[in-house]
Amino acid sequence: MPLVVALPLAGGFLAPALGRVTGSGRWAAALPLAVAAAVLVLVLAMQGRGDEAAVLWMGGWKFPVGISLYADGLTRLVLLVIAVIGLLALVFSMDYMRQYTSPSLYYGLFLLMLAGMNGVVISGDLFNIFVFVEIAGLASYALVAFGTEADELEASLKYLALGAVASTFILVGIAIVYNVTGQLNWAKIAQAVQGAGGPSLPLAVALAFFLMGFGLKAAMVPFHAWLPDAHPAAPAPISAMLSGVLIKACGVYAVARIVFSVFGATETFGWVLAVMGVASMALGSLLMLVQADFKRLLAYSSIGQMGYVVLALGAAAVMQARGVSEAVVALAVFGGLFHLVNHAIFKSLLFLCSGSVEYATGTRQLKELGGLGARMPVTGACLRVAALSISGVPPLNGFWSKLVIILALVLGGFYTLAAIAAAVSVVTLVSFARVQRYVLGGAATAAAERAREVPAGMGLATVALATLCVASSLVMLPSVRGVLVDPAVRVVQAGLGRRAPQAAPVADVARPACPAVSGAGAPEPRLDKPAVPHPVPPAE
Amino acid sequence: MELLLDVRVIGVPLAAGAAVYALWLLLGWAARRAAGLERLLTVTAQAVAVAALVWAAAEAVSLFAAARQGPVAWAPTGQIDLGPVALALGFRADGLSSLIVLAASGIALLVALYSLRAMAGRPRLPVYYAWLLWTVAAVNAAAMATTFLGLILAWEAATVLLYLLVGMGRPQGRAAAMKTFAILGFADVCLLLGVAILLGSGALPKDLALAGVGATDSPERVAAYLLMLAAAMAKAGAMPLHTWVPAASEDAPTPVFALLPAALDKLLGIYLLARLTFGVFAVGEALAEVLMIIGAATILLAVMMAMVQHNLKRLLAFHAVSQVGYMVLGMGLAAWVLAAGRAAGGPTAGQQAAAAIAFAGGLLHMLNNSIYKCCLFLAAGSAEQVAGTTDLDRLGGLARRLPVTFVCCLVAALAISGVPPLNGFVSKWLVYQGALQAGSGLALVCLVAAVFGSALTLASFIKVLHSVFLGTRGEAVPAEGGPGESPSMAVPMVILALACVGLGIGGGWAVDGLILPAGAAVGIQPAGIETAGGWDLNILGGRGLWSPVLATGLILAGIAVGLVLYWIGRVMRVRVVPNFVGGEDASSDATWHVSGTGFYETIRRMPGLAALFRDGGAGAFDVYRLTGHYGETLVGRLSAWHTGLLAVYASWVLVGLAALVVVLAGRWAGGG
Repeated sequence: MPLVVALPLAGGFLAPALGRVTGSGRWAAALPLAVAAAVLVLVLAMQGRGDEAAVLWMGGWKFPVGISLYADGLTRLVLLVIAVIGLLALVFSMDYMRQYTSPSLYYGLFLLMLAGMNGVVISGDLFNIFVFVEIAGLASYALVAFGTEADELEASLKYLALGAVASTFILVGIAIVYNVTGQLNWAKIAQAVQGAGGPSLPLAVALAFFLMGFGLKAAMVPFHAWLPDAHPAAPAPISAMLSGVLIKACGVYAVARIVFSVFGATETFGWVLAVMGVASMALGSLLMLVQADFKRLLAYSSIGQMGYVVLALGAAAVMQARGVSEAVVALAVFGGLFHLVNHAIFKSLLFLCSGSVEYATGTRQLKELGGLGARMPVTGACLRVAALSISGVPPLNGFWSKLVIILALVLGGFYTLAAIAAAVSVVTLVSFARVQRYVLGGAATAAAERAREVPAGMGLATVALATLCVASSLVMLPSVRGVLVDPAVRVVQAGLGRRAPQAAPVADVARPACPAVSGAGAPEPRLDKPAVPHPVPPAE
Repeated sequence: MELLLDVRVIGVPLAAGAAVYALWLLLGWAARRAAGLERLLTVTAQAVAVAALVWAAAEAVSLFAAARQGPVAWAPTGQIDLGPVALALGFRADGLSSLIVLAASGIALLVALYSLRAMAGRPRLPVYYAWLLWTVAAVNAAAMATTFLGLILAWEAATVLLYLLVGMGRPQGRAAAMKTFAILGFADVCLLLGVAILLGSGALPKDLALAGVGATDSPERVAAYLLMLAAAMAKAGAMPLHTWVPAASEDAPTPVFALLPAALDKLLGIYLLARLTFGVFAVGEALAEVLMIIGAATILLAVMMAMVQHNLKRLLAFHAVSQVGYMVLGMGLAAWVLAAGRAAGGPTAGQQAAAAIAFAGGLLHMLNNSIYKCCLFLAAGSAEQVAGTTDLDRLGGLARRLPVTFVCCLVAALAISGVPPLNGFVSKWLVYQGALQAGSGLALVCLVAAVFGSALTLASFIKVLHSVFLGTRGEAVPAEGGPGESPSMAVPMVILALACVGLGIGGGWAVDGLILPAGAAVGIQPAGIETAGGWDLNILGGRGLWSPVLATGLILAGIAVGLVLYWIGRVMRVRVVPNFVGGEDASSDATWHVSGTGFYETIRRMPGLAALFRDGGAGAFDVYRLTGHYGETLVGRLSAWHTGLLAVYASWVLVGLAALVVVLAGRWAGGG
């Protein structure tokens, strides 16, 4: 289990060193690819464990020094998404990054970002989540500025400044929580909060800080403004990682984890999330309509699509608080998480396609493009699949997750929210019809005249993602859903009902392979009590 | 998946399309380099498509025959349970569904035959045939779905395929393709939302079965009905969601347009309208009046727009919109009569008869329209094949070059204008009778609009026939050489034209065999219409008798008398002189070609109408354009806030943070 963080972290430092030694960029991609593939294998090996939650205390140190890792259904789902998208983005980078200098630095930063994201997802305590958010963030600031053109530096600076504000507030929030509960492990904070009969005023303030901090990472309105600058400025595979994965791992995942698992869900809090979600959906997709820059359009659409996820989770919280049936709440959560997965797939595919288009034509202004459907058949077909997917066209994955979200909203009694979700879906469809119109349709423009199909590595990555766009519809089938998404749904849902942290690790104790693992299950509310020893279980 | 293949009318085109597409994916890249391979692939695709469609049509015929004995159902399999809702697919062929399947499969087969020649030479032809096949599968699936989920899936598939097919047209058509997709995509989401609202209000079972939910007596049901109605109206092309039809008409490949917007989309839209209005809901009087008004307005306004068009395909597209009005009006009248009857404690026999007549008119008009409109578009395609344009100003004198096309076009034009004894007359006659029997003031107003619209249709087609086929040769028509009549394009037109005649003269048979079983499937009692002997159509015991044999005999006799007089006239004075204008021979010179586009300029300039036409032409009534306009203003405002200044963004963050603290801390402190 620690390897999913350690491998990319080590690789992140090794790759530039290797690059310095070998001096050639040709093999620079080999190490990162091997690392990403290894991480994917590790993550795949973790799948299929149902509701089991694995807890690991690193190095056997005593609390509060120890680093704890925690992997339950939600963790495994997000890790899988990161690993798949990360590997494919790297495959794409092999050919795409030939346009840039110093590839080994790029790969180093890429792996650092990967390590940071995996760390966020797998950390069992708040402070480590903060550390890993910072690692991923720093790597991404540098990667946004990787082209070192004026606008890229400006975008990176804005991203850095706002990101730093967010980090500060997250840190202050952590300090408040530590002060109140004396705990950093979020599972134990949850118990402490529940033991105290609910959050107090300082904790509510901390919650607001967390929400702002992670909300900014997730680019929720009104904390979204950095994203439309930062995401287009980065090299295409990085844009794919930022929009496809980073805003989820450091943003939505953290919100879902901390807020739901730790603070539980109240109606107020659910409404706050739902309102932010609706605002993001509306603003993101409306502004998407008028963008002239292909990647900027995609960036705005990320804001809008993440709004769906946040809206679904927020509405689920409200439903839970109002006593709507568990099944409907589970449906809403499932819709949100499924859309998160789908968005990772089609948005990274869209960004990679925009990279291919820019690679072939040298421009990403929509009105300078045209007729690429015939000239770049593979990229064109992939772009078509991704655009139809995000527009919510059956039988592609986007349709199903939007369908589930809308049905769940209606079943929970939120007719207005369902209507807004449907309307935003229409706006998205129109926007992406516009993308298809300008990029694929029409007569070839001057820029498109000399366009050729992109090299095999880029083509391979886009085709793989396009296949996933179709294949991830299979998540609707009970057998697939039961393995991949349902455990995550149950984690979030249990968090909503504030039942999660007790249930899972107890099951873990019963596992003969890890006899002494006990994470959050042990009653250990304060610092001054003797800590339960935590032997290291076999590595995952 | 097995279920889809098991239902042959869906499975055969679906599998054939998949096979063609897979072949293209495997070998398409090589075909780009080798012309021989590309030709081989194309021929294979054509053969597979035609064979599959023949098969599907044969299956559709046997399905139709079987459905007359009672509904044919396939048990739903592989239901996906999501807790409060279950996703399930099921198919069933009753009278209405099997009629749609029969018409769709038959027309698709004819269009595929026509495409063999008409689409020749275009790139990526195997893809075209694959999409064509999938379209048939989608339409058949939508017509037979027993769950709303199946309906939505097939419905959206039809939308996407139409979008992709329209996109295969000329490069400048990409804006129109986008408009089509935007409007129909909007409609699809409306359908989805309507279903969701029904589910949320508890009116639908968990598996979303397409079953009756009863009267539209709660706000949720009214909203759901209106949303679903919007989907049906947009697909069929009724106002105000019709604007994609004329927009897409100009640049889409003509066979595509003849297949989908002219025929299959009408079938789908009216199918859903009938199913919703009579099968799923029991619509109230007010909603029925909305339907009637939509129908009458569509008839009249669209035909007036059609009269002043200068492009043949655009003109036909406006007629395609206008004709939908008759169908909607027929359904609306039937719904109104039934609603009035229910309000008074159960429909009387007379009311049931009136409803049956109006419904039969609307549904038969759907069938008739898909036949003659498809024929008209195919004729336009043939003219375009010769002249390379559909601009009315540049066409003319094609009758000599395309005699078969001319005759087919003439028959279809007379049919659409409602001239007896052709099929358009029979269905319009039924709608008129329904309006008379309905006995409300609004119905009479609608009747007037419908009759007037029919007259304007005839006027407009006189212009078409003159501009395209008669008169001297247009400048775009080559003098000699070039393509002439081609059998594979002529045969589908001839079949469609014969169907126009057959369904007109055999109107009684059509109502009896095709329409009344379909009506029975949605609870319309076959009262008030007698089809004694199979030919005559006796409405309400003789008050609205349509005796096609007698009428046709009289008409033929009249034509014979006219021919005799004409022949006598020719014998009496034979004097043929060439036309000289200013000393030059003008008899066969394109320079002296008088186009018919100016026929109705006076109407366009009429006081009162002039402003309407100007605004209509500028898109002032175009929902899509209006939304775009106001949307742009709104988005511009939003956009202006995003200045790119870090200080501004940082202040948003702080304001947002302050708001969060206030809301969360405030509520938590208060125990929320």
